[in-house]
Amino acid sequence: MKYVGESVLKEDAWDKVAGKAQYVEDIKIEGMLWGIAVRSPYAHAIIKNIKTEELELIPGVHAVITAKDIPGENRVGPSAWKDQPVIAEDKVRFFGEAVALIAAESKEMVKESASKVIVEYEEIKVISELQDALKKDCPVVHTDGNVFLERKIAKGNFRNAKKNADLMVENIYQTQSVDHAYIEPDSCLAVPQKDGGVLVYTSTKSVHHDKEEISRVLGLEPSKVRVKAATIGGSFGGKSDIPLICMTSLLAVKTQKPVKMVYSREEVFHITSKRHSYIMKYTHVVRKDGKILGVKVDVLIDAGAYKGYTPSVLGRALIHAVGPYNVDNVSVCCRAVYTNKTSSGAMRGYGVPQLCFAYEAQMDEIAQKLKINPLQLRLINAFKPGDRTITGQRIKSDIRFKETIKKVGKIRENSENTNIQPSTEKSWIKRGWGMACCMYGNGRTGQPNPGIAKVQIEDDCSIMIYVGSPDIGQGSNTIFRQIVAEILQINIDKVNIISADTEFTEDSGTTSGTRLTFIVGNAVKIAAEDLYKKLSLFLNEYGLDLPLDNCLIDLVRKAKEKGTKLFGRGFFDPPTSPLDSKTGQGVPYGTYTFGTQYVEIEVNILTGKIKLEKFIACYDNGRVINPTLYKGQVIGGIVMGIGYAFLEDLNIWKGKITNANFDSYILPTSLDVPDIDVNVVISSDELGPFGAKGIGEPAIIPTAAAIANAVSRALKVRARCLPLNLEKVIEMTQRRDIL
Amino acid sequence: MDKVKFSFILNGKIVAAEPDLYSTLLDVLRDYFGLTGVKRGCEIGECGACTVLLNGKAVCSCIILAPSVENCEVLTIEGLTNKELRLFQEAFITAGAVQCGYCTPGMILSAKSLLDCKLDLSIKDIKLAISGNLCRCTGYEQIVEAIHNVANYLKQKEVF
Repeated sequence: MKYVGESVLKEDAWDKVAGKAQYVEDIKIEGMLWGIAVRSPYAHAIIKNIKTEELELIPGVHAVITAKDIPGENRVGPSAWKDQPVIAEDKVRFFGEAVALIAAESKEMVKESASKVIVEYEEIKVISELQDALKKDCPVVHTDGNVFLERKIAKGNFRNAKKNADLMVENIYQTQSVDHAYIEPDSCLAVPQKDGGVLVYTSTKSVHHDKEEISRVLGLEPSKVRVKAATIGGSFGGKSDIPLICMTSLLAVKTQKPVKMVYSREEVFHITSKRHSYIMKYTHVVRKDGKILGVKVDVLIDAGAYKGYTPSVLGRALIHAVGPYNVDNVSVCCRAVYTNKTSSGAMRGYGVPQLCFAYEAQMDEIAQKLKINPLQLRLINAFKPGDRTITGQRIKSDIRFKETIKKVGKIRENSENTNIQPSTEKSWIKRGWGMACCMYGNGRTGQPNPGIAKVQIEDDCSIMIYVGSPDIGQGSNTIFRQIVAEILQINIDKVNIISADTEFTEDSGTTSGTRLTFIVGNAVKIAAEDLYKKLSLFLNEYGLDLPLDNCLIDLVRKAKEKGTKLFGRGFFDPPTSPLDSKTGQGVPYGTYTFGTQYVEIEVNILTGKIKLEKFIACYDNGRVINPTLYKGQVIGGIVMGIGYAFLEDLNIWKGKITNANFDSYILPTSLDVPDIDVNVVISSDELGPFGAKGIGEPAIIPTAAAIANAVSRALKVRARCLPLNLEKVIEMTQRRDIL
Repeated sequence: MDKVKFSFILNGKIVAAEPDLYSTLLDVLRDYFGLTGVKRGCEIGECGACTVLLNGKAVCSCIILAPSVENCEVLTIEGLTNKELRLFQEAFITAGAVQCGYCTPGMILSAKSLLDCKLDLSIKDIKLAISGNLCRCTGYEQIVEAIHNVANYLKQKEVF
């Protein structure tokens, strides 16, 4: 193959390096106003009164909007549940929730005028912690009780398994909430159109969903709303902040002028969605030869103030709770709870990194108690072709999960690193190694989520791909160009792409769920094949010969003469079925990515500092379409996982994030990154385009788990709580549960 | 608000500006001169997206008061020579050092300030030089590799 499997360069990167790429904030339009949201200083309060009259008289202030001015429905949400107001009505439920909007002529003026809105609040007790929300005398965030969702899934009979087991390992684990921390703050520019509609430039993982939300809130015909993604400065599951795009559009339509809103970094922290924090109770019952007979899991999920993505994250959590292991008797219960915090959302890994931290700690503890090599224990239980998942889905014959564990084991043996031996020179330095495994279903859980694409030969003799799902920087557009060039056997320089513009593309789903390569890539491939078939007929008719590179000019001329547009269309929806509401059985995903990560570390028990020495990652990722982009996802995922393991933690006091910028919310820097050895096993997915599967999210899932296992091994104390910051490591050194 | 007039050398040319007294260099570069290659990320000098060279040294333009650069030399990504830009583009793109690209201009200016001082670089030197520039996408390894490749190329050119 000429293009698939090659590290084709990202076409958008040239402008990015030159500083010419236009992100939303870089777009300027003559006569543009600045918008701002007036935000609540309380996390839980009744709004008694809002006074804006004084403001409306200030010259330069063009509009003031409160909830009552919203022409459409004042409710948004990323999934079927629309429960979040764009502007709060009678109550605020998290710190910084918008209570009014202002548009004014300059950035400075709009900021100043925001302080002139007088809002009278009556404070209500704030629910900051997950556990507090469950207490009987706790106030409710909404009217329907704080536990708003409980779902279970079961397979076999856990109780029986418990009777037959030789060992039971039962523990409670807890993880923190973290921020996506994309470096480009959320921003939006809305431009009113002559037909009463609006054109919206935004930084988003889904233009089509954004369009639906805007048209509902503004009460506009969907055809009057066009959403176009500018260059996107990172997403990782975040963006758009739906209230933001609706607020900007509201101001633009009201003032009939272009309006730009740009969040400050603090706003990004306070307002946008976060990774869910979990409390998890795991009970593993095991036979003495290492075979896991049963697992019981109870998970409490902190949803924040609105449902947001939580029902869908919870659905994925149910299925991934036991990890990539074949267990016959499983009982999982997940409950989602409201608290007075900004809504938890979709973040790389979608509810699975939390679980992986817990189930992989369990695996190590089982191995240690049974005196079985941890690697061996994982091999004993690892999914293999023919096994059935918790939902009864058969593991396909192309799955090569065990090989990832074996390969990591082999690399580790060959490297003969003596680092994992206890240091004799410095008694305060402890060394350890850890590993963790994961599986991840590609696409949305048990729901139709088709990829749709069009590939067309343009009048200028180029090939144009039309795809709705945005390239958020990871390089999906490049992957699609590779697929099309390969199918059409044409020079890739002639293949261009238009993506993420509702005017020119059909809805191909969001850039999330590790679905772009596997699902949308398939749609692109089918579209190219469709075009190729049509071309062959056309060429025959006119006596032209392939390759396309040679006959393109004649072809376009002939097509013009005939008045036809040569294009192909592709549609791919993975063969899934919804889970049965009672039994939880069904086929939630078209395929799964599997992987194993391994890490060696040093811990300084005087300071609590963790130093990473070496990382090995190996995935069953199907065929890799672009090795450089693959490596970029794996390393990027691991480094984000390093932050999750011991640096990042949102500190919350009375519902308010107290470390809302990068001086106190600490991200990994170049100095925190060890050598990372990125590997794949040879595999090919029977459904994936050219055998490919997705890697975006699986890349981060095992990282914190592997690091936590390494720290536990080094300190001989089990880590049960993330992040393993300096304080927590020191606390661990003072515990006495010697492993 | 009070305005203040000052002049400085921006990307090799003497320029004058008269912004609000408390404007930051970031504001002036973006809003006054339209140099949007300078990115706004955190506005407290932590993320490095707004990095520019001030008299050859990499600084965060978001925490520098604009008038304080009077008579100084300021270089933004837009001020690289075509040759320099091409070199960085090829090295960064080939290594996979660009994903969302928001940190990239700042990253390159930090790299340039290091490369202008010396070309015999250890990996640690490079990691230190870019440790003030946050990247959430790549995981840094590819950026370090790209800068190392640029250094090696420039070194070879010096020898021959």
